[in-house]
Parts: sequence; C-alpha cells; structure tokens
Amino acid sequence: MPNAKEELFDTSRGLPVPWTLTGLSALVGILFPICIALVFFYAPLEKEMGYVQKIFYFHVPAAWIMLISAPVMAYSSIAFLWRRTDNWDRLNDAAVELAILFGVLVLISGPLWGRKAWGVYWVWDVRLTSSLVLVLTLVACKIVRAYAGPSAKQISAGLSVLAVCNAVFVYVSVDIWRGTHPEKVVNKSGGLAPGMRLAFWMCVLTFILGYVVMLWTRVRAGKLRTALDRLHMKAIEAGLED
Amino acid sequence: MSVRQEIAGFVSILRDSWIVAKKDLRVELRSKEILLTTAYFGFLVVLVFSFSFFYGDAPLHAVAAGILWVAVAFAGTLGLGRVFEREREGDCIRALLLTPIARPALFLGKALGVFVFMLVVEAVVVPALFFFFNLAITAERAGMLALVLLLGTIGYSVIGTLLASMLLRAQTKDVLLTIVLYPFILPLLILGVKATAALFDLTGELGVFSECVRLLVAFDVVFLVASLWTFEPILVD
Repeated sequence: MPNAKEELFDTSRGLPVPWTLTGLSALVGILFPICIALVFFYAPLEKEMGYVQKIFYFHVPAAWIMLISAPVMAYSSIAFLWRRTDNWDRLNDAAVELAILFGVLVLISGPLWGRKAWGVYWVWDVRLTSSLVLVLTLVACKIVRAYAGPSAKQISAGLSVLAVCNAVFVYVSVDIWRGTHPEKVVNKSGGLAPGMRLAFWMCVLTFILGYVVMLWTRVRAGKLRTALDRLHMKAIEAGLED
Repeated sequence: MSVRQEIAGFVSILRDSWIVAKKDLRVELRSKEILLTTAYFGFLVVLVFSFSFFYGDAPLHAVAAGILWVAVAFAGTLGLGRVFEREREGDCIRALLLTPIARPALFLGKALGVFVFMLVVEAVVVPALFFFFNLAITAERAGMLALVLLLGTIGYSVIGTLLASMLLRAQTKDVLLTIVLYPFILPLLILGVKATAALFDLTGELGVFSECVRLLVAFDVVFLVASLWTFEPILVD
C-alpha cells in the first residue's frame, strides 16, 4: 500500500546512489576475496577438525549478524509503531529478511560442523534450536506481511518484536529441557591460534560491512518499490494502463 | 489520570471483554458446532497417537506428556480458525469493530472465549489420555497438571487469538494460521511437555516442574502485554 503522504524522491531523476554506499560496497567486494584467501591459505589447519573447521569462520559471523539483526528489528518496529513513517517499516522488513538469510546460513553450516565435531548433524543445542525457531517465526512474519491486507506493516512490526521475545524464551526453555549441555563448554572463540584470529576477525568485519550494505540496499529497494507503485497508480488514473 | 480512573478504566475493559466472550460462548453453547467437533478431534488425536506409539502390547508411557500437548495444540488450531469466522460469515466484523468498547477489551474477550473453549477440549483429551495410556496420578499432582494446562492454555489462546486476528483478511487463513502459530507456541510446548513429563514420572522429583511453571508464567505475562499492545493497530478497516 503506497502511503500517499510520504515524501519520496524526484522520480523523474531517479534515486541517486550515495557515494558512501558505493564505497562501502566496493570495500566489501575487496575484503571478501581477502577473507577467503586468509581462511584457506593463511589460517593454520586445525588438528582434529581439519578443513571442516573452516566453516567456523563463516558460521560464527553469520550467527552474530543474525543476533545483530534482532535489535535492529525490534528498534525499527517500535520506531515504526511510534512514528508511522514508512522508512522504519522498510528497515524492519530488510532486517527481518536478512535475519532469515543469515539464519539459514547458520542452520546449514551448524549441522555440517556438528557432523564432524559430534558425529551427528543436529544436536538440540540451545543456540541451534533458538536460531531455528527464530528463523521459523521470522518466516511467519514474512508470510503474515504478505497476506494481512491493509494493516500488514503494523502487524509485521508487532510480530517481529514477538519473534525476538520468542527466541529468548526458546533459549531459556531449551536450557532447562536439555538439563546438561556439553556443547556450551566448548567455547569456540576461546583458544584461537594467532593465525586463526586474524582470519576470523577479518570475516567478522566483512560480514558486518556486508550486512550494512545489504540492509541499506534493501531499504532503497523498498523505496523504489513504493515509487513504482505510485507511478503505476498514476498510470492507471491517466488511463495508460488497466 | 488519577489512580481511581485508571482502575475504573481497567475494570470496564474487563467487563467489556466478558461481554464479548459471553456472546461467543452463548452462540457456541446453542449450536455446539465447534465445541463438539473439536473435542471429538482432540479425542481422535490421542487415539491415533496411542496406536502410533505401541511398544509391545501397550502404548509407551514416555510419550504421553508429548501427546497431551500435541492433541491440545492440534485441536486448538481447529477452534482458532473459527475465532472471527462467525463475524466474517455474517459480514459483521465492522459491526464488531464499531461497538463502543476498547480494542484491548475486544481482544481479551475473544481470547477468553478461546480459553474457555480450550479448557473444554482439555477436559476430554486428558481423561482419554489417562484411559488409553493407563496412567496413574496422585491428587496433588493432578492439581499441578491442571495448573500447567491452565498456564499453557492462557499463552496459547493469547497468541492464537492475536495471530488469528492478524490473518483475518487472508484467503487461505486456516493453512496460514497453523504454519504461523506453531513456531510461536514452541516455547509453550517445550515447557508444558517438560513439566507434564515430570508430573507423570511418579518417582521423579519436581524441581524441573516449578522451573517450567515459573517460565510459563513469565511467557504468559510477556505475550499478553505484547499482544494487547500489538492488537490495537491490527483491526483497521
């Protein structure tokens, strides 16, 4: 639903790309190959895990990004419910989508790690389970947004807050449910060799910058979408389309 | 606003929500359409699961707690699909929205209706479970079971009503509701099953039980407050 009151941009001139976004994207484009090179050629091979340990350099940053996305979602949706400006809604939608994307990355790479480390693909570990439930509830948010009709924005804003609350509850309840959890003792980032440390933090930096680029681009895409919808309406009013 | 006015506003919301719930329950008591079908469905779920988990010549005790909650959750979904259905079929959702009562009262009323309705379903499912699984329980533990079910049902009906009202306008509401609802009630199921399993294990201790109950209370409070806050803007027409 295009919000007629909102000031967008001059559609005849398009939405200019700010140089900061261009620069940031270029930086991520340069950093990403460097990360891969560091992970595979610089960081030493782990004794027990071998090459599978390389998953760690992408799994953990992806999980952190998913966690970063949660406060972004919560903040943007509360800001939207408060202010009712569409940009907050676009930010919320972008954060939800990226949390799903990185959550899926976590859920694919986690079991691959688990297979090598613990011999099974899936363990009912608190972090893995709450990530799964968070992704499921966020998918539910997207579904509701698609079908809820005129008040979809408010609804998905509310739901994404509930999804974050829910993930916290899942974390705590799985904690009780499992009783003892040996996985938690394995502090993954604790004993990193110096070579690994550099590769790891480079990956974290790249992922965070990449996240910012994607978030920004997604918000811009949402803006363009609104502009397109409005042009469509104008075209229909002018009798150019039906 | 003074404290007295605050209290008066709160009381009037409770009264209004009781009116909404009473309306739904009265219609239901006259037709018994959903109540009978859903309670019967809950019974059938228990039966189907008892057949599915045969070990030797009797169903497994260990899965009884899980089956109880799955049966309640499944049967509840049938009922939730119908929360706003009478209004929709009669084309009077707008009339419901135009009634001079606060939105939170409308939400609470609908949730209360679902809550009472689910309790009736549980009154069928629980005895069926004890019957088929040959379970035994002490009077004290039966009271505790009632407490867990009560807390679980509060959370379930609050979230369920909220999601049902969110999907009010969707065409394929019934399918959507189930796939949206289950991820959200997972913490309830985890805690409920864990607490119930602790109760069914007559030799076990109840430390886990009280921990689960505390968390269930927290869950109910958080989601009730969040739902009341979220419900306000949902039903714009």
